[in-house]
Amino acid sequence: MDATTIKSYIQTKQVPSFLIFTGPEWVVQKIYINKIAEVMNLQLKYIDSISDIYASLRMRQVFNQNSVYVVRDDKEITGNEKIQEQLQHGLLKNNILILLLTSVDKRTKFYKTYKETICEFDTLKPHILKAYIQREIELSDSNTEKLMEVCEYDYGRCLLEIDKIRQYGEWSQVINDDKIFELLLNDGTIYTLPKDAIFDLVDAILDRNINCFDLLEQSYEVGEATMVMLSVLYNNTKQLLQVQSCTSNDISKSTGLTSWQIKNAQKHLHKYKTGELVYIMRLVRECEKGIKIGTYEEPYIMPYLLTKIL
Amino acid sequence: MIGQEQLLNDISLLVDRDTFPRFCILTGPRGSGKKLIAHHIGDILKCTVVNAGTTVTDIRTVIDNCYNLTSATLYIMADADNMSVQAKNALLKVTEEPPNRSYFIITLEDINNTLETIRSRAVTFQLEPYTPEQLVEYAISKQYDTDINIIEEICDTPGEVDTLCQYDVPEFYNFVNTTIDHIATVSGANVFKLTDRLKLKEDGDGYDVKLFFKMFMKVCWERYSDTDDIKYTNGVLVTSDYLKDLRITGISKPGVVDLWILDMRREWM
Repeated sequence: MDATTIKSYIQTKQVPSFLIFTGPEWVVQKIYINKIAEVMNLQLKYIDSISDIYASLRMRQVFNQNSVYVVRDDKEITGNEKIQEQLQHGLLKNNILILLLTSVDKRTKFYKTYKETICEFDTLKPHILKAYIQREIELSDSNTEKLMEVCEYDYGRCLLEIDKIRQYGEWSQVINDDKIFELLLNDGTIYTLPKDAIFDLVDAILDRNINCFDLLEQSYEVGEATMVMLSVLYNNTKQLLQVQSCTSNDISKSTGLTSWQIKNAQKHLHKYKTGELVYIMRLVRECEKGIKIGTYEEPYIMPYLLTKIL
Repeated sequence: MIGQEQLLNDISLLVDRDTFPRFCILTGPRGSGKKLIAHHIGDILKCTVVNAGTTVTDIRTVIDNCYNLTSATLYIMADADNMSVQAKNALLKVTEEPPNRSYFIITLEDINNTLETIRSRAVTFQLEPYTPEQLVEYAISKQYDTDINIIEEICDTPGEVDTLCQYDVPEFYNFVNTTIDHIATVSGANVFKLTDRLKLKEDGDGYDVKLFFKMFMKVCWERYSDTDDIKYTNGVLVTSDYLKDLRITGISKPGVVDLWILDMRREWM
């Protein structure tokens, strides 16, 4: 099932009593949920689990208020075939139950049984996302595309940044949304993911800069792997050691390093003694070996390393 | 096949009694003949042999196919030490109750490089170590003209014999001697250039690191015998520690060699 089918249900006011939404576009899912409740004239209630309403669903009620119930990742539904059967055989009566799944394993029996009921809200295509954004705020095409890029094409994040633009506009009385967007982007209020965080981190370590702990957090945020961080740190330290201990005028010929590597290493000369650089190399290798043989836990390695080095 | 008599006898006995396990693990060092034995098993079971990969997609393809077999088929998943957790989990189901007409063999360098749950479903066959005489016999059967003494002293598996005999061994020997002479005397900037002559990546050129370390230890022992200089025994001790590290799956070879260089300099300067 796709979003077009849901739209047609809404338009014809014939929404099935049990729907399953999945996919990364949770904001779009919420828009559809709100629309369903509005069109079907039902109350909208978010619940933690079907067990919260199970008893009331089974009882006859004279004065019942029919509702759209929304529940996320409820194992009571996905794991219990008895409840699934009851849902299919009138448990909900005139209510609607929408199950939101963060992810769905397509190999499971549940998926195979409910394949036709599941609507996957895939990441919005760029031109559709652009249309959604320009419906919310008056930005030029280029700024809209910039916003989409900065928010990694995530509609939810775009809405959060749009909210900042609106708030600033109300406070500052600046009317032009484009001007506000550019201002907030330049001063960092609109959050931009750090690029090349890992190289900034290694530079900070080799500069003995205490900010490296913040840069480590940024590296984790962008999903950099510990082994990659260790590898980059090791290679840069080794290159620095070679350059620092080279007495020849022709460093490139002596060390075999490229001019870019030499220039990079020269930025950090003499922040560490030769013995300290050797110590860093040993420490990094010890950590790598520890992760491979299971004696060290990966999440704790980098903080441990930074503490020992600095 | 040279060597592995006991193992081959055991396998033949199981096949003759029609009790050969549907899922087994062959373990042994790299180059010890695990794939060769797996193919031999396929021959004596009179199976079609399929060399399957070890990625999760490969395993799922195997699973899809093995339930529709019309003749006996042996699936070999070689070098499964780096198999991903997802691939290992995919393998669990089919190996718990293998479908009719299917056999599965995975080969590993280290039995610990797979899940406990996979080990419990399989019969494990450990390859026997090769004696120096067997390796010499292997080299002769391949008509290699490398010095037999060197093969006896530094090779442990037929794979290592094949690798060593590809080199110009006198040149390799001289390279190791030069390394011993200069490792502690060249500048710190220069010393890492030694790694240019070693094979640090799977697809790289140069001398195999493990063979280099073993040749290094051999030459150190020779020099100790000639000079009684204790520094050479220290060199052997340092190198043997790093040789052990090379057995760790996924370990960075460049890192191992770099630190070996630093430790050798520390010992000999």
